[in-house]
This record gives sequence, structure tokens and C-alpha cells, in this order.
Amino acid sequence: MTASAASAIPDATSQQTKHLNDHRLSFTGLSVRYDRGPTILQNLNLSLAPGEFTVLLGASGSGKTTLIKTAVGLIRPASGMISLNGSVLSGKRPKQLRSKLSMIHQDFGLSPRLSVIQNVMAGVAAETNLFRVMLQAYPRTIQRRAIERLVDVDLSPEHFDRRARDLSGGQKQRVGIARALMRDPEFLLADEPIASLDPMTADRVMTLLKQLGRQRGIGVLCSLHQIEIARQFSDRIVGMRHGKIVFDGAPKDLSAKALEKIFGAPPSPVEMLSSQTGALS
Amino acid sequence: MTQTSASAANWKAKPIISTQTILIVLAVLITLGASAERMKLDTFFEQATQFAGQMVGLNETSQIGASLQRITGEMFPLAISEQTPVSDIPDFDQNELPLFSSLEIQSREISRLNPDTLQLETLKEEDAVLIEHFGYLFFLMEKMLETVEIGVWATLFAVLVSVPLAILGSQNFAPHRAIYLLIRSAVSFLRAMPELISALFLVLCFGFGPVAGILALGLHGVGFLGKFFAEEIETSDPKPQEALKALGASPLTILRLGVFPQILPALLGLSIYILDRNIRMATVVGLVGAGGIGQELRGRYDLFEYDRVGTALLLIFVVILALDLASAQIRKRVT
Ligand SMILES: Nc1ncnc2c1ncn2[C@@H]1O[C@H](COP(=O)(O)OP(=O)(O)OP(=O)(O)O)[C@@H](O)[C@H]1O
Ligand SMILES: [Mg+2]
Repeated sequence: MTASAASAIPDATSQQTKHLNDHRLSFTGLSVRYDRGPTILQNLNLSLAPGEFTVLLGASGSGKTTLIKTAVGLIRPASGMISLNGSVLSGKRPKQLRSKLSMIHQDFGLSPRLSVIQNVMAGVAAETNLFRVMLQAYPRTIQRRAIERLVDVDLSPEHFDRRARDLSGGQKQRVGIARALMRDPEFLLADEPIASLDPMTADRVMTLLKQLGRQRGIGVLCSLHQIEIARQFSDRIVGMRHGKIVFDGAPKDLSAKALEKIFGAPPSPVEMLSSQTGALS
Repeated sequence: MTQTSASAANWKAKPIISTQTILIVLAVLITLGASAERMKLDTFFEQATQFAGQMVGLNETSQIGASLQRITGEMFPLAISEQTPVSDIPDFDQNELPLFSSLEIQSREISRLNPDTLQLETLKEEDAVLIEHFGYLFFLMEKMLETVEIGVWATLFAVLVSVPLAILGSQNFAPHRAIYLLIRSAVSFLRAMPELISALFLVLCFGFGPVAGILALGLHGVGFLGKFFAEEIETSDPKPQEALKALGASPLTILRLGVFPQILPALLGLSIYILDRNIRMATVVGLVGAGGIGQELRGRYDLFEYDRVGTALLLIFVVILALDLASAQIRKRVT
């Protein structure tokens, strides 16, 4: 942890010296549709602040994954604009700016037969010499950085050489987070990062995400469908329904009426129960 | 409700044998009958009955029986030794015989006309002959090794060519749909071409010997592996690939980190299957002159030396049996 603390401090201070208002991730008039299908996101406007933990709350199929994938460039928007620090990200995909965004995946997105450390170093594979990537011979500095990130996410050295498939779900997501942190992102976009974890593990992973975001001044957009977890961890909640933002406010403003707007009918008892068990842990 | 129950009452089960079925069966029988005549199956039937009759003692001889008797008679005992007249061996040193060999003096009787007496006389001529007791067997083993080497090189060729072809010929990594279609059809063509026939032509291009065999089997192997490798790439888990893409990784990086580690065991299993198959087929392409034990076997067959043919067959049988067992074991372990 000493190594991680040392590396975390300069990150945080450098973030604070910048003009915070310029460092926003903004979606303006964003519309997304899959080829010839219906429009999934409709004229969406959203602006995220650095260091803020925003939960994207919405029912299944509301478009959470679509929004996050569009932000990191996996989906090309039909129209609208994504910008970071006032520079446009969409369109020709400027690599330099894209590298300020990292995604965390619901199913972790690790290569199961590669080792933990190889998976983490893959976080900067795009910025590394292709020949080195092919031989999996990364420079020392990158290896050291990967180890630091693994320590930051509380994984112990005995796991570093293990194959990713031999880890537990919670450990896998920690590797996913370490990989996302390799490129020192300004924003983390986490798509239901705890959906396949048990409540206890989910709580720990959420705590870690929140803590890392705060320490490093990273803005986090975390999609969830569990209401209680959203309330517990977020600084801001954005509610989504049928590809439109129907709520945007502090967790304390998430009233029963707001929930009805987001989820349509009042949340079912099952949904309440599952979010409560999540909160209990 | 009433409508459905009315139509249900009118419903009849289909007859088990319809006129259509009977017509189809008749047509098939007539076609088979005509074909049987073209295939001279009647002659075969006659010969087979005759042979069966001989077996149970009804008649004295049969054509099949006679041929079998002749072939087995000449095949056994199997030839495993090699004899060479010492006069044919340059720098022969009697004190340093090769391993497992001995010298034998063979005498021959030669009749010739004595020019002085003008009478026919018989002379005894003595020849020293080197007998290597396992000479032919060792020679065949060397040829068998050549066959195995042909199979290994052909597999190496097939794997090395197939990996890039499979990448360019997979739906998710082909740079253009035209390239995908071109590669997939080329690969299908290679698969459709029987290796025995391509070997015939390659022997014309490259002459008798292993190179023609390696190319014939290698190209056919590309036909298989090019297709199966591409299918492995296409069906490999998209999640790690998507995660790498979100990190801005290039297609090559995605293949290296997100695809190949996952499909490697499958690729190994397929390659070992092709290796097994190539070694088996290497004996066959040898028959048309593409090197190895097959070429030797064909040569002896043409000279009616069935005792040597028999030894070659036995050796092939033993090696292929061992290979089958080994490859099944290895494939079980890698996949
Ligand atoms: N590849 C695709 N092609 C066509 N339609 C898609 C595709 N992916 C998602 N959709 C549609 O887009 C809509 C939004 O999907 P999305 O995955 O963004 O929702 P989500 O909020 O992430 O849901 P969940 O909570 O189930 O993950 C859904 O109606 C879905 O059917
Ligand atoms: Mg989703």
C-alpha cells in the first residue's frame, strides 16, 4: 500500500491544480441506434465532473450499456457529440483523448488464459510498441506500474502470475479495475461492475471504485440497477428510461416518484429485496 | 372452439406407406440394378460363390482362392534380410563386417562349352555373399522415417500457412469482405483436391521424392486448417476482444491478447489431428512416387516381390497403430 499511496498523491494534486470545470466529460445531443434498428439513445445531454461518482440508474434495456460503449468508442453515435476538456472525442476518434477514458466491464472482459499481470499490462498495449506486445515483453516501467495498480486494488503478489480464469469474481473485477487504471484515465466508465458478484464482494468492489475515484480525482460513471447501492455510493444519480435521462440529482432527491419515472411502475418487491440485501452487506 | 373441434374431427392420420413411397423405392431399386450391371457385380458374385464353394470343399479351385494362395505363398516368409555379392561392394573389408551380418559362400553351377574339347562341361563357381540379416528391415525403417518426416514437414507447412490465412479469412478480422471470400474459396478448393491427385502432378513438377509429397499433403492440410482455424477465431469469446478494443488496441493486439491465448488448445488439437492424418496419407502419396515407404512398396509391387511388399505392409501397420494411440493420448491432454 505504500507504493500505491506514493503514486496516488501526485495524481490527485495534479488533478486539483487544473481547472476543474474544463475537465468535464460531456455528451451533447447524443443519438445512438444499432444498424437499421430503433433509436436507443435519443438526443441525450449529460455532463460529468471530474472526481464525482455518478451512478447511471435504469431498468434493463434502458440504454446504460449503449451509452458507456458509445463513450469509449465501441459504438459510433448516429449524431451528437462527446467531448472531454472541450475537445471532441467522437468522429475520427482521437486516440490521445480516448486514452483518458477507461471502461470496466460487467463480465470483466479479461483474457482467461493470460496471467493477471499480462491482463493488467494490456491496459496500455495500444500505447506500447507492437513488437513488444506480440512477444509480451513490456518495458520494466510498465511492469512496475502494473504491479503498483494491482497493489492499489488490494491484490497480493501470489495472484500476479495466476491465470485470470483461476480467480474469483471479485478478484477478476479488481484486475479489470487495475487494467483500466493503467492509462491514468480522467474518467472511469463502469458498466454494471458488480452485476455478477455476491452482495459482500459487490460492496467491497464499489467501495474500492469510490475510494480510487476520490483519491485520484477520477470521475466515475457507474451503471447499476440496484437502487440501494446507487443511493449508498453515489454523489449524483442519473436516471435513464428508454434511452432518455428522466432524473438527474443528488441521492437524497431520489424520491418514490423519481423511481417511478425511472423504472416505470413502482419497483417490484423482488427488486427492493435484492437492492436491500445488497445494502445490508 | 367449435371450428377447431370440427377440423380435428376431420383430421386423418397419414397412411404409413403412400403411393409416393412405393414409387421412390421402386425407382431406387431399378437404378441400383442398372448400376450393379455396370459394376460387374454379377461376376463378383459368381467368383465369391465359387470361392465359398472351395472353402467348404464343394469344388477344387476358384479364381480368388488361387490368387490368394499365390500371393500369400510368395509373401511368406517375409523378407527382412538383404544379400549383396561381395564383388559389388567397393572397399570390402572382410574383418569389419557390419552389425548383424555374416559372409556366406554361395556356389553356382555354370554350364559352358569347353573350346578345347568342344564338350559341354559344368563348372562350380564360388561367390562370397554378404548377408545382412536385418538389412531390408533397416532399409524399410529408414524409408518409414522418411514417410514420418514428410508428414511432419507437411503439417508444419500447413500450420504456418493456415494461421495468417485464417486471420484474413475470418469474418471478424478480414480487412475486407472480398478478401474473406477469396481466402475461404481458395481454402475450400485445396480441401476438395484429393492429395493423391495433386501428388501426381507435383511429382511431374518436382520429380520423384519427398518434396512432392510434402507439398501435396501440406496444401491439403491448409484446406483443413485454414477453415477450422478461421472458425475458431470467429467463435472465440468476444468479451475479451471488446475490452481490448475499448482500450484502443489494434486488430493484431486483439488477436495476440484476446483471441489466440483462448483458442490455442483447440489449434493444437487440430494440428495434431492433421499430423496424424498426414503421416498416414504420406504412405499413400508415396505410391505415386512422392517419397517414403509408399514409393518403396510400389516399386517392389511392380517387381512382384511380394515378400518385401509384405514386410513393408506390416511395418506400416505397426507404425500407424502406434501413431493412432499416441495422437489420441496427446489430443486428450491438450484439449
Ligand atoms: N447489438 C445490438 N443490436 C441491436 N440492438 C441492441 C444491441 N445491443 C443492445 N440493443 C438494444 O438496445 C437497447 C438498450 O440496450 P442496453 O444494453 O444499452 O441496455 P442496458 O440498460 O445496458 O440493459 P441491461 O441492464 O440489461 O444491461 C435494448 O433495447 C437492446 O435490445
Ligand atoms: Mg447493460
